[in-house]
Amino acid sequence: MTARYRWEVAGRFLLAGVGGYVLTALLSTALALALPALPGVSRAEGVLIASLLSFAFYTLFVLWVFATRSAWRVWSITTGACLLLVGVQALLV
Amino acid sequence: MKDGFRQQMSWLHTWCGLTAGWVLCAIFLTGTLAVFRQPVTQWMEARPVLPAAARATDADRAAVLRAATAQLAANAGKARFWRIELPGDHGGAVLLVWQGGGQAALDPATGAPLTGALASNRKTEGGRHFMSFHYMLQADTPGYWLVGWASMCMLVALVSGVVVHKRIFQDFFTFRPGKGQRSWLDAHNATAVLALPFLFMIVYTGLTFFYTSYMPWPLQAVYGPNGYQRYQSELDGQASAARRVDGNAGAVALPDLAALTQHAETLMARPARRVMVEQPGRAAMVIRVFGPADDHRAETIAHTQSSVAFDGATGAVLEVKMPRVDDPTTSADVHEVLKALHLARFGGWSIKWLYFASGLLGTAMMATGTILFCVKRRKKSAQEFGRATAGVYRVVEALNVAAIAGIALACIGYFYANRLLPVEWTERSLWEIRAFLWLWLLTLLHALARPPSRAWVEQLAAGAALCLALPLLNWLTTGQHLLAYAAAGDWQRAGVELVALAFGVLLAVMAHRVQNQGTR
Repeated sequence: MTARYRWEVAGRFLLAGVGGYVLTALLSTALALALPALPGVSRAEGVLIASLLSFAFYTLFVLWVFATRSAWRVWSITTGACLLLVGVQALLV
Repeated sequence: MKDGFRQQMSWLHTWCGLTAGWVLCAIFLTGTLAVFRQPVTQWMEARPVLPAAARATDADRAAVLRAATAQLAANAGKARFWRIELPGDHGGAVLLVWQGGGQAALDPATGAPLTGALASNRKTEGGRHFMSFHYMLQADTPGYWLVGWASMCMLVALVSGVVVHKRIFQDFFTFRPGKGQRSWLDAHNATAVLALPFLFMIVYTGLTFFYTSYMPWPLQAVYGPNGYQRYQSELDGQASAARRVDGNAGAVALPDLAALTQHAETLMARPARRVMVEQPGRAAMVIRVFGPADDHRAETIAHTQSSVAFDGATGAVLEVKMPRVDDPTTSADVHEVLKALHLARFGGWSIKWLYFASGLLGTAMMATGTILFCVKRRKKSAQEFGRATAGVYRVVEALNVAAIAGIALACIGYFYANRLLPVEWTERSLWEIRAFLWLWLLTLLHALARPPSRAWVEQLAAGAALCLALPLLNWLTTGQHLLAYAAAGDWQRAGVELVALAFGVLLAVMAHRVQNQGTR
């Protein structure tokens, strides 16, 4: 148990908790904005579906954070995904 | 983190489960008790037991409703609403409630006001305390988010737990009792697998119950910061037609509530349980008659409580709400169904008992999981915390005691606070809850001060003694007892004491076993 290992675990914990919430919020928002483009899905239903699914996204993200070996990979992919979703949102609004 | 997918999931399962496990035990046990919050509230309010012979007939009820109207008009003529609670199948008094916190109780047979000890103004949160603690931990917004965090941890622990157990089906049929660590693992697996569908359902519906608070961002992005109302009405597809005029102009004679109630019962084809009078005596007066809250005859899960609204001035029917299968289902029903699933608001008593049993299994799963953590490490320390490891294990062990035996002790202590705090105290409902919280804190201090095995035995035994003595306490403080409840056919309150006795036996057996073999 090195200090490095401890920092890595603390970092992942933070990323899974806080980063996971941010990513989930961005993903479900983008989904809520995009879903009404499908036939038969209203604006309100888009919000409902995206919000209800958000907890599943969050869970899967946390599992992924702790299942991936490389810490660098986890951080870079999460940051990239967040930036991408911010861009998508800007396009959809 | 060790290599390999399954090892990593196992690591995540252990730590996620342990850190959230303590608070989850409390959430699960109180949530399980909250299934029976109405019987608990009835027991705690300790209203007089009325003999079965004093059941109201239809003619009686008309007289009682007229007496109620007269009483409300005399006591609360200016109130914005009145509520009349009619006794259900279990008998009991007719309750009058009006805006501003006024309350009175009437004899269901004669309509005469019950006074003194019979009226019982024992102010209590009753079973509602278990419900609100269950989702807010009595800590407002921080508590609410802490419950959200624990629920997410539970979801993660459930999925990673399933991944870890590749032999989930065989594991379920494996039980090796009396084998120390193995037995704890088997018990953890068996309770988890048996209740797995329930556990997934209850935690997910719990999170989605408050989805607009936990995850408000999609809604805000689409509807703006104050868009909740617009979102709801769009989801509903139609605006609600209920009339809501705020007028004080013009005094109107009070209608005959007995006739309206009878009319409503014919329209609903259900017995009336509650009569609401909005704006009594004013031109905008509306009378709403509600059917049973827990409608056993409802054909759908997401049902609105049946009710009939009358115009108070003319007696005309304004609205009839009925749970029906041919109602068009809207997207707004999705959330209603999720809520009904979480609250066991369907299927009557049998589903409530099923939820109760499943909730206890869930609590047992978390308890065995956190105990397993210690049992494993007592054999061979994993040295996760370097030199501090022994100290950390000690704290973990104490938290286990407080989270499992301690919360049970605090819950039964809450019942004692209800009976022992003076009835005339105005803040007594607050102090009942304080007693619960202080008792829980005390169990933690006790667990830190005593050697673990002693702490287990002492707290389990104390909980058992309190549970087993509950009927005695009730008899000493209120003169009510199990046999009187049973004789009056009041099975809800009798059930509270019977369940307390069953818990007492269970805790006593647990204490005895720990005494003899320790938590090996």
